[in-house]
Amino acid sequence: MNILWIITATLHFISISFMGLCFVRLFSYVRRYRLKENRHTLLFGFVTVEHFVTMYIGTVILFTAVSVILLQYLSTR
Amino acid sequence: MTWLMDDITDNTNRHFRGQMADEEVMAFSRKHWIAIMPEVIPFVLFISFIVLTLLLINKFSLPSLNEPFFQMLVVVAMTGACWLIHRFFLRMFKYYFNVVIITNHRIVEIKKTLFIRDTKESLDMRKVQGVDFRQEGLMKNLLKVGELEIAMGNSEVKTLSQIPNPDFHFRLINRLKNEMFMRQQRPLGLNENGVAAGGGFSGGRAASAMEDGGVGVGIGIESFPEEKISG
Repeated sequence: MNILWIITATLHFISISFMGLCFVRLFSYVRRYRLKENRHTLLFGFVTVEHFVTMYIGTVILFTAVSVILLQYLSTR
Repeated sequence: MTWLMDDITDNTNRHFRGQMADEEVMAFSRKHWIAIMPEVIPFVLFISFIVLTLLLINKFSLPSLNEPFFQMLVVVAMTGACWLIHRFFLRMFKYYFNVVIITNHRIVEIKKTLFIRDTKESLDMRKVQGVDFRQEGLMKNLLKVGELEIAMGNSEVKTLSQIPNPDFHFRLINRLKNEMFMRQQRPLGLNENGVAAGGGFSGGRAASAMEDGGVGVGIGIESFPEEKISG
């Protein structure tokens, strides 16, 4: 059981660290390319890269929380 | 003199890395949203599957977590889900990175990913021989998505695929190409109205061309600095 928790913790640590690294690279790109967006250039006319950044953070945090709760549920069953 | 200096704006690296001082961004475009549907649809299905599984988890008769096989299955499932989530968002960022920038001097195609790829291709507007746009099929016409084929001087054809509103980009490139051609054809020392500037041939642009070691007579002297875009 302990090994499972260690693997899970390692997986989530790598996952969150990777997300942080992605943001470092992403914001260095955003600083270099200052193109003026409009409804013709954005995805579906309104979805910006910041929306995807928010979704990315939300999804990774939700995934971490859900997997920990799921493991807790499975181990106490 | 100050008012004259204010008119000359330095656009170096203003909108993108490698932009030249006298270069203006006329338009830029990403691929049509249809290009990311092969990524979005499976991801939505995957998320729906996970949500449904979690909601119905009580209905399944799962083995004990003490069993090594089930432990391994849980680890594989978690790792797979983690990989799919990160892969999806990296693809979405790639969609935002890949742009085609049309300036008054050139067409710049940037293909970039967060970690692996960083490619930039610049097509000189003076070397553009012709532009074709293709929008064939019902779906492409309904969604206004198509391909632009740009013929270069050395019989090379550059294809920009899945461009939204290709008709607009087709007309824009043609207009810029014609403007570039007209600027090259304009006799030296004459302004846009064909009036001699700075005392005819001895003054203005002809004089500066002579000073720079140019021919000074004829056409097509005007040039802009060739610059490679650095990453």
